[in-house]
Amino acid sequence: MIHYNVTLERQKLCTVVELQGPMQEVADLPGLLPPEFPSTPNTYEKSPDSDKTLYWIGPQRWLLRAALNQEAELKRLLAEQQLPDAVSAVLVSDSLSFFKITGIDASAVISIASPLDVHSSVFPDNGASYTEAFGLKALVIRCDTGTSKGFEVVVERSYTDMLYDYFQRAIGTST
Amino acid sequence: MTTANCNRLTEGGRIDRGAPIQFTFNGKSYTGYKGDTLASALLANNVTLTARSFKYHRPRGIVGAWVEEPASIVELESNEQSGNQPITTVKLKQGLSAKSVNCWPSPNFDLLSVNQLFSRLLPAAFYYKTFKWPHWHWFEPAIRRAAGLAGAPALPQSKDHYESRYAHCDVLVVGAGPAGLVSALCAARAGARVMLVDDGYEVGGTLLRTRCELNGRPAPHWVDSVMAELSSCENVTVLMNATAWGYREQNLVLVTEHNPQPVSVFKRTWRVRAKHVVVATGAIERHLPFTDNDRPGVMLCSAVSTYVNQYAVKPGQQMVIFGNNSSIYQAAADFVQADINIVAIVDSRDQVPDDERALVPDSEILVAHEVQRTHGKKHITGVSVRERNDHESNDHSVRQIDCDLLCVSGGWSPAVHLFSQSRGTIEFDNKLAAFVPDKTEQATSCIGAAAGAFSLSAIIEDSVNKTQRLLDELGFTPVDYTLPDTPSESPYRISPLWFIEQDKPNEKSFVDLQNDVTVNDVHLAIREGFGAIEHMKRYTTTGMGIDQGRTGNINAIGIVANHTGTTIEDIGTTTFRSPFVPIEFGAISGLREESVFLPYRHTPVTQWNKDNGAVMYEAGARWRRPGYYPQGNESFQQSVNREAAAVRNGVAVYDGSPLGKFEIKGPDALNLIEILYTNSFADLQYQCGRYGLMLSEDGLIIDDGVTFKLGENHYLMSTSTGHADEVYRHMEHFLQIERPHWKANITVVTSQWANATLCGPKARDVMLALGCDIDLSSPAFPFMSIRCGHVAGLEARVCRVSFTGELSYEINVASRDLPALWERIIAVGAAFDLIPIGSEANHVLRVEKGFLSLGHEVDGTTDPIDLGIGWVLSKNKNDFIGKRALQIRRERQGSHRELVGLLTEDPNQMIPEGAPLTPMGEKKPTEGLVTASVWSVVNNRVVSLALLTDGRSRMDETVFVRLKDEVIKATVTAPCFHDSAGKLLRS
Repeated sequence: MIHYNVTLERQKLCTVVELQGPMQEVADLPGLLPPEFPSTPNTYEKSPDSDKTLYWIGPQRWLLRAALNQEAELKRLLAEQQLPDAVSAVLVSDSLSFFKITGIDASAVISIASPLDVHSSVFPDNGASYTEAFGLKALVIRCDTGTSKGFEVVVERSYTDMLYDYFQRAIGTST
Repeated sequence: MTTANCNRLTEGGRIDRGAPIQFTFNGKSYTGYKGDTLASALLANNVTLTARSFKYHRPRGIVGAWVEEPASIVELESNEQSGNQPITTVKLKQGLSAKSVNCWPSPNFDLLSVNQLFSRLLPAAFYYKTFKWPHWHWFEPAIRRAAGLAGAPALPQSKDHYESRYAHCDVLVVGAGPAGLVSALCAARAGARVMLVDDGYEVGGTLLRTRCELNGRPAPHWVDSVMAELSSCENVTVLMNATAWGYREQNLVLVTEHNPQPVSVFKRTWRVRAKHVVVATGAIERHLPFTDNDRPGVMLCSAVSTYVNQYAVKPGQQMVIFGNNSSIYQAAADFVQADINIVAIVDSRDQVPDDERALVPDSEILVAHEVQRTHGKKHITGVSVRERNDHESNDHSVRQIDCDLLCVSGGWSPAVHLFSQSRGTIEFDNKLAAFVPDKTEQATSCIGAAAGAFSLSAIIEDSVNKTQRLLDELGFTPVDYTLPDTPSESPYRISPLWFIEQDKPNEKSFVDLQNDVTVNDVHLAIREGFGAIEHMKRYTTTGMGIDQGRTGNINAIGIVANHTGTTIEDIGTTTFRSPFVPIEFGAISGLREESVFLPYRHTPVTQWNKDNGAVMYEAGARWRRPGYYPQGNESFQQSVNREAAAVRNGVAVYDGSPLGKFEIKGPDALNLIEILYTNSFADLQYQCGRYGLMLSEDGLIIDDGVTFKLGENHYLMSTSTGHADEVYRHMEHFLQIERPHWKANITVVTSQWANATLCGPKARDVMLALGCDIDLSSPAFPFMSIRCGHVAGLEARVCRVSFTGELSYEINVASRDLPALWERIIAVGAAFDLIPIGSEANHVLRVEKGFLSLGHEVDGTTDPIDLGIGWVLSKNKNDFIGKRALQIRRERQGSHRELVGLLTEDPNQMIPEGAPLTPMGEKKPTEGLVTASVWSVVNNRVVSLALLTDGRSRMDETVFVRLKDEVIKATVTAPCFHDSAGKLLRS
């Protein structure tokens, strides 16, 4: 029996790079990042054409996300030889699974999954924070695009099946 | 024969007379109305015998009107299956089916009522004294069957979807009576995020249960207007029929919705984190202990008010009211309006003020009197009333008054349960004769009756003042609130009365109706040395279980105070525990059941493994991995032998994806590795790897693994599967706490790089057949090195390490590519008789080699020297984590348990892992344990590893494994049973 009016989608593989290092040195990486650097922890910025997104996920830690077809180019640009000593860039595209949950009950389903307070007063439109989802370490991202309002939940890839299982149980689509 | 709804008033109440509901109780059909509870519907149908008591199986009826109900617990059946629900809180639904507990076959005729004949033999704690010989456990099952409440539901519920969710707010208001409503309204108007929860089916609390007016109109009108405003506020969440039952640290309050929306959700628990919690839980009326005070027809005065005003039910025709406080007069006035005949009001106080008398000018009031006992069998038929002993007139004559309903009020206790759970302190208020909130421990405010304000005007004023103050503290600008007009009320006056003296010592005056605890039981506890209140509680069970002493606890404390000559302040209270009301385990655990009961992790080829018959189970860190791949009718051992033999004689593939993997980069990457591992990596060459051992601060092993150098300041560290998370925490903790200035960054790549490991003498052949642009010759690609290239056309990092002792290639590819690589390996490998192997065969192979396994040999008590790998401790490094502790440990005199091999006298005899070794196999202190025991395919016999005291100096000695039924002899050997020189893995 369906309990909530949401759409759950497992997102396609995308390019993800974990960036670590001093903020200024990461911000200065040439030509790699969206023009706007996230100014507040636990937020993200997109490039105008939305082809790259930079999530500020922890002290001196960011995730750069782009379409899968940009992976090779990003790998080339982020090769060790071209980075400052203190900056590390590691491809983690295969490490993470992205789920998108949208619909009028998306916040309700997120509140089942995660202790994160996603009220708009504390979790802004560009909010992205590591927290828990069903007891697993997870990144929760607000993704309101036009009429499609909801969240993305990102977990380590090995937990993909379990998270999907949990979400289906929460929504009521579990067989 | 009674008429349906014969006790229903023709008008009034908040029931919907146009919506009849059919239900069944103890197999009989009845009709109630929408808005009824099971209790109100039964009373309307004149069903007053609703239960039997817990121990003595005495007839019991309905006493309360809500969660305070101590006597009638029911078991719900069919689609609502649930045990131990107070009859007063069960919402009447179409088709509801319920039955009484503690009776068989029915409360009207209960075979176990025979217990009443032996009640003198069944005092408090009788089973501790009576059933000592030959052993308590002989009697326990029968006693537990005879006692106890409802059983657990026998069948899965058809509607069993439980849910738990999180919520956050600025102000959580618990209780939607007058105080809670006003508080929520003030907070909402100030712009705070407000959550209002109430356990009732309707908001309003006491305003619905009494005939009072606000702003000159019946109070429900005011309730409706407040709710209309709250419902229109986006910043307000209202939860109805939701009980706040637990209060934890940092203002975390647990709330369970009993009938949530959507209806497909059976129960929902909210974990609410609030900046400030407002406790507006009201007060609970107390019972009074007197002889036979448990007889059906004896009810709390407030409960009768509720039935009359909220449910339009008249629980009796001829009423006697007995109390010790002013609240009974307002209730009596309501009863008069409902056309109930009040035969007499028995007031234990010495005086009754005129303002109270004026409320019931036509009723007989017996001042300074007490009800000594009730009469009747399965329902009250009358009471014996006498003047109190301490009254000056000294008239001890007893008057019998006929009645079919006795309303009792022993005073009011603020419901401080939740506040007390917050670790706030409570103190005894002599004026109120009740415990009231004192000092707060968290951001909590108690308001209204929960804070000891009992008149309506005082309740509202208290609520406004405290809410404005807390809003100010939270940074909100309070908005002025105009107090509603309240009617003039008599002030609350009480003269404490904890029990009524019994005429005869063997009479029963119940303190705790649910647990059948009498005044005599409390006295017995004191006589036997259990007078301290926590001892008394456990000895008698008063206030335990579902009831939590809501109606009787303070009476028990008063009895102890009276009997011991102390004061209630000195005695204090027992602990208020959660849950405040019974909460299903399912509602607490939420979705966490069945397949998601425990976390699980899959590799990219999990589905392939399942499709190909692998027996899957957890193999550390929640990874589900193939244990083995049985073929045909193979037994477990046959499968494992076949797989192990394939590795020793041919080639096999193993899914090694779960192995922990970390990339470490930065100028201080080497410094980090040097401090983490016991050996040096300073001279590690590019594309080379080295085995390392990681110690905890106390010098014991936490993990081992191989670290490769991928570039300048760039390393790839592998760890055990089971300890990957712990190692990551260990590393990050060190970096963030101990060396925050170091420039070293760790990225977890465990799932980035999935791994298929080819192992066996033909592994190189399969690699070549797969197509590989890496020079695989041993000189070009030696053991303990890594190469980047392509395998089967896929970008890969290939490592030459071995956990089996054979030539091995760990082919690491992006997780997305593993299924393709795996399929290719299986297809190409067919020509080489390649098979997939599981973790069981891997275990056999590593034991044959004497390789360490975390959780077996590395069990948190061993250091590297114990395990015979002292060579991994660098003598040249200045420091590594655990170095000092290890030195101290090794300098200590005495024996150590050391890793050895064992060969059993009987080569076919397997030893259970973990089996103790004792001197001569006798019942003596252990000298070690068997860490692993397997059938070795290369040795064609059982081989084992063990940790044995001073083991390395005991080679060839016979040791003894002591089992429950036998002793196994074994010879001590070196802990390696295959290729001790390590030529094969380097081949």
